[in-house]
Amino acid sequence: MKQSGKIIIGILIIVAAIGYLIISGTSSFSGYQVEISDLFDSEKDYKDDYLLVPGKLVGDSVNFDGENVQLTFSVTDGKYELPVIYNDIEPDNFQDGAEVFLEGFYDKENNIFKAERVTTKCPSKYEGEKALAE
Amino acid sequence: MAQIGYFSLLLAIAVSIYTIAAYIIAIKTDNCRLRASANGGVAAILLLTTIASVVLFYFLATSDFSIKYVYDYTSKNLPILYKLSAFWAGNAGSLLLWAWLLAIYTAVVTFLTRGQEENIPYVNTILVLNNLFFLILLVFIANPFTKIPGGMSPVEGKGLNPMLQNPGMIFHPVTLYLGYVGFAVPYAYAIAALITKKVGDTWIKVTRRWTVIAWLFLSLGNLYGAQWAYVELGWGGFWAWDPVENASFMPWLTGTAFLHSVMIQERKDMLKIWNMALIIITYILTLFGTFLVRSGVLQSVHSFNNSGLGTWFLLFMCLALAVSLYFLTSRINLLKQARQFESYISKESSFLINNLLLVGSAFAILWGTVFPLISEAIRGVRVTVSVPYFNKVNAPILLAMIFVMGVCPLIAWRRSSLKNLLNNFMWPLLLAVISGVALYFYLPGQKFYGALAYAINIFVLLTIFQEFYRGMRVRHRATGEAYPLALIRLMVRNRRRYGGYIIHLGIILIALAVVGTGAYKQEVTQQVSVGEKIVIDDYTLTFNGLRQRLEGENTVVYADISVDKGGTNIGALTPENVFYKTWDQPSSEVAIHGTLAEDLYVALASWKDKGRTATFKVHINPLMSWMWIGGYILVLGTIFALWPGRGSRLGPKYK
Repeated sequence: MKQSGKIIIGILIIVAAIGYLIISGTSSFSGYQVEISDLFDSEKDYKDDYLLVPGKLVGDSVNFDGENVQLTFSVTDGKYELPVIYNDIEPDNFQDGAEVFLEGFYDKENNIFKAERVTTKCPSKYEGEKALAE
Repeated sequence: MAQIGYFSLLLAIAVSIYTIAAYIIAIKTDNCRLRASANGGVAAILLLTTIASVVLFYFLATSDFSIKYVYDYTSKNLPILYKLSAFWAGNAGSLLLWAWLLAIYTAVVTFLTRGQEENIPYVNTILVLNNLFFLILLVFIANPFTKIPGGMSPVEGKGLNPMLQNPGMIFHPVTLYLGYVGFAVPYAYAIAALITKKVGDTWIKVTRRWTVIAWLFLSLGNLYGAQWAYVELGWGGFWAWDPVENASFMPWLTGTAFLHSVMIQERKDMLKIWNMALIIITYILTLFGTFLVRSGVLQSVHSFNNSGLGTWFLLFMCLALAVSLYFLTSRINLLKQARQFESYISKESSFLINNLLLVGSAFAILWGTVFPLISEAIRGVRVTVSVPYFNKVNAPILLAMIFVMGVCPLIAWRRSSLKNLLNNFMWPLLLAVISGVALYFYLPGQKFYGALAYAINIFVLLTIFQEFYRGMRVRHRATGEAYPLALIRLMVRNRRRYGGYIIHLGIILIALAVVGTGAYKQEVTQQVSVGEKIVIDDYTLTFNGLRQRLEGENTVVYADISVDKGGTNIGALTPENVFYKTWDQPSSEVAIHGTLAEDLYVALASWKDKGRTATFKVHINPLMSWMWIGGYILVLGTIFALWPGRGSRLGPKYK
């Protein structure tokens, strides 16, 4: 076989391997991004679906059980309040009204979100939108 | 004063438009005086953006809170260094930084590059067009000199986000931007080469320094970002595959691919189309990164508020892509290569594999990053891939990449024989396999992939050392010089080559840290009362209580922990929570006991009972220090490779 033929076969093998990694990775590690209202309004029970849910933190609801390293809190979309348990410590910027992004599973029966990862962002701090009057 | 800043930006727009027009007319009419005048325009843009930047620095330093930007990001008692670094804390300032850096680069291209007079008008037209875009945004969308409405001047500002009050945040944005903006220069030369149809390797030779410097800054930007995340975010890691982190990693990958594939063009006149495509992709990815940060289309911790800037970046990015593709496709015949690969075991083919892997990794990251957008567009639901996707997909690709990094420098150009391969790789391969097996049984958990990853890194490390050793021995025999002198002369006389090896060494050290923390980290989160202990590996941490002290106007709550390792006391650690006067939430400052073998990392998470009970997050991150050491070696290697003069040139072409 000509050398260029071998090269092309080599390229195809690498491209196929990378393609395989991407496709299998996407199907095993993806989750649906849903709104809090979807969890309450929809018929679907989202069992076994890895979910990503944005919401605003309800400051008064935060409770940390140090003995078991368990954080419980609620997030809201203004209409519904979703209770969350998270077996880790508070992330940074965890304050009332902070935009929280939950990743994990939803237990519809007990209406609780079991978070595996919680991240916060605090956009008002980056781009000072707060009015002076506040 | 604010007027001066604003008007210099406004004037800079006018000058930019004039400069672009003057260059284009000068090209058409071959008018030397007009060209000189346009060069003057470049100098004027530099002067005007410098004035604007100095004015902003002045407002920040003097805490003039009548300027909204100063009010938003600083407070009176902020240390001066952080007052100044608030320059790039927000949208408007970071755009100004971008415009300023681009103006500096353009001036350097214009006035310090010799022998390129013919290309300068083309290159500068592209660079100034770029800068015009940023200046327009600065004047019309995100003006850093906006005053607080009603002419008020508050007595105190809102303060800088405590998370940004860290030395990492002084360097991270600046180095990253120097890298981002730096890639605009080789891009501009590439497009100029396409326009003028002089697509030989001149543009590559001229821009090599630029590419390497931009690449170095991008590397540093990413490393500083990782270091900042490590010491400031308190979750024990340094990389989270956040969309914005990905956005700065993708151009690094394609830029690295470009740096390597241009060598093939320099040596063998091959891969011309590929090189053009790579630099275009790299440049577009830098814009894409900026778009992601500004637009808020994806969930990210870094996001600035959507201030409409995202749309502008998207438009500009599409425009740049369309123009680039037009020139690339219309000149494609000029770029067709005459030469073929002569053997599938050769340096060329290993460079090709290296390129495929780097670009493949970049594509996998791009795919994962924009997947929510694609799925929403196609299926109507937002499907997001999670962190394990990035790890699982990139780990094999990048490990293969590292393996190639060990193989590639040692195999011959054109054609390599099996004997040659065996001769070069037998010892490193053998030793790497033995140490891999040993590590598999010795390290906790008996992890196959961890041991394999270590073994691959050790293999590459050994090939690098072998290369230095063999070169030194050959020179010693040929010249009779003593070994150390032979080594130094060898390196100094072949700076490009040995600079490259030093950079590879730095990358391997960074990779070792990534493998160590990725596969072998240990962590525990535990609540303890005064006098109680946390045990992790052979460390014992005793909690002696929570204390408080004042630091300026901030209150610092810190835990007093004494640490024993294997029964002997190795000192105290004091993880802190800092309460800022201008901020509601405390910010955590981790405590790290770092050795070359591992970091003991302690973060104070929370406390109760007036500090008699507290919760800590404790990590052991093996080999973590090598990430930063590798970073310094990277800088050294780059400087070594770029040092001008005899020994910095490339060997002859292989025809």
